[in-house]
Amino acid sequence: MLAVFLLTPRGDAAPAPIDLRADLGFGGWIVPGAWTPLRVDITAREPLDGELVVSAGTASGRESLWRAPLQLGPGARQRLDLDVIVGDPRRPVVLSVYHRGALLVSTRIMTTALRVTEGIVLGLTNDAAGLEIVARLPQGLRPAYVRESQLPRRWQDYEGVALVVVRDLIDSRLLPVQRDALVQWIAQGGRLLVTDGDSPALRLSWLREVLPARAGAAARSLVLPLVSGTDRAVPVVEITPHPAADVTRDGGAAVSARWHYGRGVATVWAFDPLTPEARAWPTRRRLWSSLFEMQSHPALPSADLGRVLPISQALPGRAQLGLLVLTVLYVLAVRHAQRRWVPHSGWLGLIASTVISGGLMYAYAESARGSAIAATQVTVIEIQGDLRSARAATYVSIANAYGSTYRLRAPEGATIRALDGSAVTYARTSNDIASAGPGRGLIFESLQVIPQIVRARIVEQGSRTQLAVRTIPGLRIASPVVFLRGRIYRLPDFEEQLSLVLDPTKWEGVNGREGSFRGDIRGQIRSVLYARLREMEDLRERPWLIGWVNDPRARVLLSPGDAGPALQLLAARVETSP
Amino acid sequence: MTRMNPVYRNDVRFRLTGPKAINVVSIYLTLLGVLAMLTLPPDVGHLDELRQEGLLRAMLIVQMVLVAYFTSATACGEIVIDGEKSAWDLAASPFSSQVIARGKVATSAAFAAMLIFVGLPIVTTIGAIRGESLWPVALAPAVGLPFAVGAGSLGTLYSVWFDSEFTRGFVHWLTLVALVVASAALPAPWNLISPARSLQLIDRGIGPAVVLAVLGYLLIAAVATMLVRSRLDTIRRDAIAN
Repeated sequence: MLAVFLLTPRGDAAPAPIDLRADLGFGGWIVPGAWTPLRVDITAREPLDGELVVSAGTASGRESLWRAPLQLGPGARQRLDLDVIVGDPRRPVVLSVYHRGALLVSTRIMTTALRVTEGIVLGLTNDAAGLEIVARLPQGLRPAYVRESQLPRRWQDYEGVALVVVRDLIDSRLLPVQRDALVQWIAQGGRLLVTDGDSPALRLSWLREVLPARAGAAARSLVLPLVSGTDRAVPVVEITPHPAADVTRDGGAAVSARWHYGRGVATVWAFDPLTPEARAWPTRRRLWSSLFEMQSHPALPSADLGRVLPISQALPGRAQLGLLVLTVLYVLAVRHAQRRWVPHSGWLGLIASTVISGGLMYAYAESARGSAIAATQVTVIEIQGDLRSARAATYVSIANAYGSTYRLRAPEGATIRALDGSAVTYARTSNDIASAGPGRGLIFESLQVIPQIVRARIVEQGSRTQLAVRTIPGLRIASPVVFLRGRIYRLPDFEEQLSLVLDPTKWEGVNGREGSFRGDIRGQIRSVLYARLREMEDLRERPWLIGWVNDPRARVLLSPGDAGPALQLLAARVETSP
Repeated sequence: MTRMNPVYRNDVRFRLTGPKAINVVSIYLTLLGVLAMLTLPPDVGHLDELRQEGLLRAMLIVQMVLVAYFTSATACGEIVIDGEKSAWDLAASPFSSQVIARGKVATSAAFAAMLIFVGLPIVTTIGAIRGESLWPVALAPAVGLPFAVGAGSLGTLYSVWFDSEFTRGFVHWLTLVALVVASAALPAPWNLISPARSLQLIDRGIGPAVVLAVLGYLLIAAVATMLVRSRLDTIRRDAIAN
């Protein structure tokens, strides 16, 4: 990873109180608007008790902050791994270190447009060479060579990554969370390429279910005209593809296998495309391009869901009544002061009544403001049948008309961010953000994975179509339907399991009026989801089980104020078997 | 030790404690309270025309206009305060025209200051609800008070200048419309005459433009006071001659 090195003196000739070293992005590359890793190493020469504040410009021209506590003794070193979002790369990322509230040092990382890309190809290789070819692909990619320790620890942090190329992987250097993050990212739509049929990655138990092929045994030299475009022999360790994999053969051997893992794509090449010889193959551009031919499945929910949520929240009736009563009492108090007190004590009586009443009214209004903030959230728990986990995307609409300060806390393991470029302050964990300032319809997105909660299957038995659904204990699905190609089949509410023969006469078209009533949020959410299912080719050809659930693990908490309604829609892909 | 102006002392007593004055203050506070309640709906703060100025600023402008109206209306006799003698009536008193003119302008200043002060709890409530800084509230009297004093002095002038109540009321309203509404429609830099414009500028601090506007209002007050004095002298001369 390209390091942005910073050593910040305090200004004059005095020795710098701390050494600060920061690495931003993968290999220095940044994808605007995507989670970007920021590694900061701080060495203190004097005791340090404060915090690191990182600020980065948002797409709307504002500024978001990330705060991380610091506590170091003299000579101690602290490493902070933060994830930041650079919305506007024209503005520098500013790192400020505070000691007991006072600014100690502040420095900038210049993020010019020259370091911006549309996607990053991470190469896990010993030799940092060979991936430059991806810069010539139409996807606008840039290569970055990383070591195991630099791989993200959360799957969401791969957001700006288009492809991970694994060539030289030392498994013992990977933390379990890094393994889980990589696998989860692929399941959620990422792309993985393992090169060389003899790669140790092919023998890793935690990666086995992801990969479409097993390691081969026989090392051979084969002429691969399709792959290399030459008649020179290429060293190949033949792979053993999975029966369900899409296999490419060349030179009489299986040289490539790929398949969908979850929504993502995993590919194994039996040859090494990063050798000096391979870097000269005339077909190399087409070869790397082929990695993007198999499309990853799109996610079902989108930010459109957030737009159907309420965007306005009035002061509670009690607070409005309180203000009215206080105002009336104040008018009466002034009248009383004018009648009774001013003749005896002059201006003093009027001043006293005004100051006391003013203090009370101000304090009441200030507290009422905090109660006028509300959040409405909708979660779509999307389940791909063959995975052990489900993707929960929550969209939170904040109505903060009176500009009070609020805090949103997403569940553990989730990342939350403002979709509209609002100025927010992130806690180090990135599932905890705070903001202030008035706004309506401020949309936040929380992304996480939760364990699989439903399995649904349709079995065709002659002319009978049997639906079988099984959920985790205690999970109730309300108003469930099976959605297929623009039509729905209404099911009864059920808990834990349902077995039903689908009557072909009971399929009905989606009611165009559903969600047309302004206050019918549930109908509007369903309507958005149905539209999405109809639009996406990859999604519409499969049946989906859709229904309301209540899973506290995917709920975003708001403080202070009314957490508001939390609607949770389950969308489970139904497996079909003949 | 300087003696308090007797006209001011008498007028202020009735302006503070007279039954009608109490009602005037109550009406003023009720109007502010109603406006404050009307600002509570959440979307009011997002109307395009209010987005730049802010509700608090709009409320301060309304307060300033109300203060200027009540000050000038009580000065010109449109609202008669029980016990208070008009400048015209005082022409027959033994007080010099200077004492009367100064007393009247001091009364207007004190009344305007009182109205601004008692309105603060309601105005600051808007700031608290919207989470806005109260700095504009603290600075607003720097414009609002001189403007109200200027309007009050003009009211006093009209009270001695026009015999007809209708004419007096008509000119009084015409003056307010000209100062508040028409001046804001003037092209820059002439729109600085508008107190609403000065209140908008005051957020950036009391700059030369605001100082110029305030000096303008004080100049109006000074000229009106001189004209009141002159008119009182004329009235007395006419009375002696007749």
